[in-house]
Amino acid sequence: MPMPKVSICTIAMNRLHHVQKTLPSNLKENDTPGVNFLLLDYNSNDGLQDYIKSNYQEEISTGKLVYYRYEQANDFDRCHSRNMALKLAAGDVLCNLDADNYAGRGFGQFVQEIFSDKNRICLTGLENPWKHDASGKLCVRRDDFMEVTGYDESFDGYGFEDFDIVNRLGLNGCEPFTINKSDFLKAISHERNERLSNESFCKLLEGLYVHFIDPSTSELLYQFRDHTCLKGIIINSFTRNSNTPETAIPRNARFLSQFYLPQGWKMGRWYESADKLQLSFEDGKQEYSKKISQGQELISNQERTYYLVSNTTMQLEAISFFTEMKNRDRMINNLSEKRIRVNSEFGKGIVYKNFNRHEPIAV
Amino acid sequence: MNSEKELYIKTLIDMNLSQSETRTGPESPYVFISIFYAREKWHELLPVIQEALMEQQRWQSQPDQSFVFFSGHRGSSIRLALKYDDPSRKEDYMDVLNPVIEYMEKHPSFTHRLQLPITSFFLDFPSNSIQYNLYSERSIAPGGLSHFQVLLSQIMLQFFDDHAVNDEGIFTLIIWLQEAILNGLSNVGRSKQDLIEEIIDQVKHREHAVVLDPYQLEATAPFEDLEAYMMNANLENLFLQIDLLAVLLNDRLQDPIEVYFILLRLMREHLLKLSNEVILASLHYLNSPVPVEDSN
Repeated sequence: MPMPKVSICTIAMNRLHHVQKTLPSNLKENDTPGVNFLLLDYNSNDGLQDYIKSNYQEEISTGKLVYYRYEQANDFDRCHSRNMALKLAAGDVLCNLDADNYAGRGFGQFVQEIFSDKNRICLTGLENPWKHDASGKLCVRRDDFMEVTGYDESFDGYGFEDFDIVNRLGLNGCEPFTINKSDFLKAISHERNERLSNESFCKLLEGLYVHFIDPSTSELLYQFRDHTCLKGIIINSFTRNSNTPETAIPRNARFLSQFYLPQGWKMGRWYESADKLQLSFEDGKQEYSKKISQGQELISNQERTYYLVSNTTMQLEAISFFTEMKNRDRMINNLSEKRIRVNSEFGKGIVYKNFNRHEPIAV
Repeated sequence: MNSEKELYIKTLIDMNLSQSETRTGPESPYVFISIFYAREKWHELLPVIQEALMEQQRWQSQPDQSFVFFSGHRGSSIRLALKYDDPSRKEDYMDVLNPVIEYMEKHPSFTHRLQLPITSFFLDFPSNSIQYNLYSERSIAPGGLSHFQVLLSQIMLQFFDDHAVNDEGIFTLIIWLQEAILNGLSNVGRSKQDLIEEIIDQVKHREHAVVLDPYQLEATAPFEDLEAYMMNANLENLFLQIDLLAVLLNDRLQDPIEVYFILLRLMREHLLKLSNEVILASLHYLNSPVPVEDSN
């Protein structure tokens, strides 16, 4: 059986600093016939295009590297961008490799060998034993990818899109295997804010508050720039029954969320004056006085106190929590309804190949 | 494929990633206890725990293994993990806990449940309360490596019965622990100073990440030559056991740096997640010409 052609696809939106580290190494360590790289520049404005143009003409002329640029993106859309890149790739086997991930020496050849031996499989970095930050790594045959209509573009923001596509590939008879070789799972470690900073939800957030109820229950209040707001009571399922040893929950249960929202989110609006914040939800309006106590900004009335979350890590956790909860539900729905095809169309847009502005390509 | 609920990701090689890694509750041989109590008073509570375990030993009803951790997660707590290989004995944990509860009722400690500015989305657990299953078997190394944790737990109980559990006390303890480990790892071919310098270099560059999982079979096989249970051992003997364990682990792995980092990873689990800065300071201290005070 001839070796399949493998395309290793990377998307970057303002991740030049990562591409500068990973791409040279990935190219050098995978100089195997039948293995090529595709870089989709998702409207970066950090000089990525110039960097590629100046440094990779030789790789581009030989086809070892193909560069595409998509200019319609305002925010990073993880699923759309991956679908676009993988649809553009010419290989028989398509691999998604995040911009902060290293392919690893001989990864392309490894993929060729696995896929020439096994037909209906996919390789994933999810749940890898090394716990490396390589969960976005996915290798799948083109036909299988197209059959499941790629990543689910109804997913919004960070979280669970990788699990979802692997689940759907599995439902379609494509057996998933975890990549377990440490050399193939190396990634640049970086802060969560970098992961989220180009996403729309992050840009919309004006303020975030927490109201404490008990050690396992709190209410979160998200305040958005467009004067809408969102509140929800979150429960920590790992600790809520911690006063007795018998009621432990199995933490190894798959897709179990540590936090849940028993009553869902409630939408409202907010209005502000110099020393007051008014919150208006379906159940009525409430006015809170702004205060500062021990260096902590808060709003309070006779019934409750909301503490302003100013710690960046916590803010990012709350943003991830919101998108992950939504995406997790979507993933579970896809799974329980055995939904294999999720997009009517996917990865669409106009791109430019190898700096050629004269021939736009419709994906 | 199985039903959708059981849909799971297979591994290319059967890694035997143990389900037990994260077991808690009825299916686990462990009882995972968190005793929330003000840290300034831990050194008064630790002898009560020590005595309760000794009492169990006298009655030959002690847990098969017991582990002590210091934690600052969701409030100040001493974590006590008790392992009962015979599930019917699991209820015995209350015999260990009753004297602790009695002591806390007589000597309640006070801590603020909400520190400002806030650093968490949830309130801390109240002081003087006992909680369960806030951690899991993930805190305990697989196989023989857990022996190091048993030794370390015993050392913590004894060392802090007359030292406050403050930064200075913990610093002194990690000096002594590393001294014992490095004694075990150094030999004619590799001096202690040489080892310390390489370790400092790796800590500085954050190069060494240790993953402790059951598939590290060589490292995790039981240590037959070590004492099975050392509730009665004195501190001197416990530190010698640490030294010996480092020798035995190095015999298996033939890599003293790897051994050091595996044991450091476990120390961190027990001692309030020691920062790299603290570890570096302790290594520099060990590498300085000032002689280390003998732990014996």
